[in-house]
Amino acid sequence: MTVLAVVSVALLWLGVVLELLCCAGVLVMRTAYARLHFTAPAGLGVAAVALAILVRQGFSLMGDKSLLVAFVVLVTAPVVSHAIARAVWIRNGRERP
Amino acid sequence: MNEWILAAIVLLVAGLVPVGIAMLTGDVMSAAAAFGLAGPLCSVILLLLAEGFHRQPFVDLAVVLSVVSSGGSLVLARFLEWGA
Repeated sequence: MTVLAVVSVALLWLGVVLELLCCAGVLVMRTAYARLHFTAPAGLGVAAVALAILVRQGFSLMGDKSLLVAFVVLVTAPVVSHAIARAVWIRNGRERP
Repeated sequence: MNEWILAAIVLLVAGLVPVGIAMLTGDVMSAAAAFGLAGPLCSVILLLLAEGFHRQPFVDLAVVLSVVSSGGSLVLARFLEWGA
């Protein structure tokens, strides 16, 4: 097993663990505000998996597209979290959480 | 079965199922918050399956899903602001 293969597998399971932690947080928390703390970091898990594929494949079509997925999720996940938090705030009568 | 498919199965069983349970429990806004996590989770599962089965075109599904799911979550949040 080469060094790159070890790094790839390590990044893969790091991403999986990050995603599982986010899922556990969403499941355990009860309010929408508390759950939103665990939705934005999911982009880090996607980025770790995309880096694992990039390390394994190099800058091929697969590696480039996985990087594109990671970029889109990293950019849009905080925006989605903010939009949902704003919707909760408006539905609650614009009160402080 | 290689480690990519194993990781996809782990995320499907231990990741997507709890998020589905979280979506089915609680009020509407809590479910919307859980729905915001389901999109990136499905994207990474599709990435892992494409890499695990060595099917390069399947990555396009993950690319499209990552864009469409974020747009869908934004539209859902906008509708929920109006009190749906």
